[in-house]
Amino acid sequence: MTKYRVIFDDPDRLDEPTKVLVPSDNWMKDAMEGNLPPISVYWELQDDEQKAIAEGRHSEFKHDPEKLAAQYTAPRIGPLTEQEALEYLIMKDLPRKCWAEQHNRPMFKIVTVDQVPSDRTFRNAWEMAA
Amino acid sequence: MSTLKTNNIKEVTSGGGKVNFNNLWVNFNGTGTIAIRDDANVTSLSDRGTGKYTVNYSVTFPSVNYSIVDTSASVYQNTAISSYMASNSGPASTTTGYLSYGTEYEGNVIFGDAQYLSFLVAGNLE
Repeated sequence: MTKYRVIFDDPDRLDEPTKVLVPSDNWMKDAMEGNLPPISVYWELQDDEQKAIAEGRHSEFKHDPEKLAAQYTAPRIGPLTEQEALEYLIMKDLPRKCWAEQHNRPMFKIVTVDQVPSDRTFRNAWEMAA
Repeated sequence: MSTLKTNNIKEVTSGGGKVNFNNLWVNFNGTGTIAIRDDANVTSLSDRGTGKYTVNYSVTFPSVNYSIVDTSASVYQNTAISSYMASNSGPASTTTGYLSYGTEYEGNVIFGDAQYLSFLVAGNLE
């Protein structure tokens, strides 16, 4: 079971509380066994869908079958370490602006579970510490 | 006993029942430090604030026209919690690769955390 979490802010929604990404242990196991396609397979699919959203045709949008099939047929990238699996996850599941663009402060951090508060009373006021 | 491992199940003859779906589900605790109890075909879960979650898929669906079933339950303050799809969570709360999701107290408009959340998705692979 991974002891890591990723805390992040969405650069487009800085008024929202800091978010916490919880990796799936099953997926981490898969990643460390080398069962993932190249990350570019997901990026291509995400790009196509974002374009459809921007053009107002999301409800009738369908992925290109060849690109879609690549998530099953592309050669696997081989076993990853736990850190590499987390980096892959960040590049797949966090908003791309978080990690692909320069900001005046870090937009995400990898932390351990015990660094995330368990008391959620003021959950909507959480901010990433400097 | 041998183990069959596959990502896709498809019918090989026409005219039969369509066996062509993704099996994607997650069961998680949305209180405290949120944690996934178990899942299939999920990469991660994002805790976006009180009662607001995003489920990220490890399989991308061909379109957004797939089917979702969700449940939530809580014993918090003996109050029933009902769940619904959050519609105010981004440019597209449902995409082919993730779903943004919210839980609120029954009859209320305030988001609330739930202890037992589960989420099942079924859809075509192509």
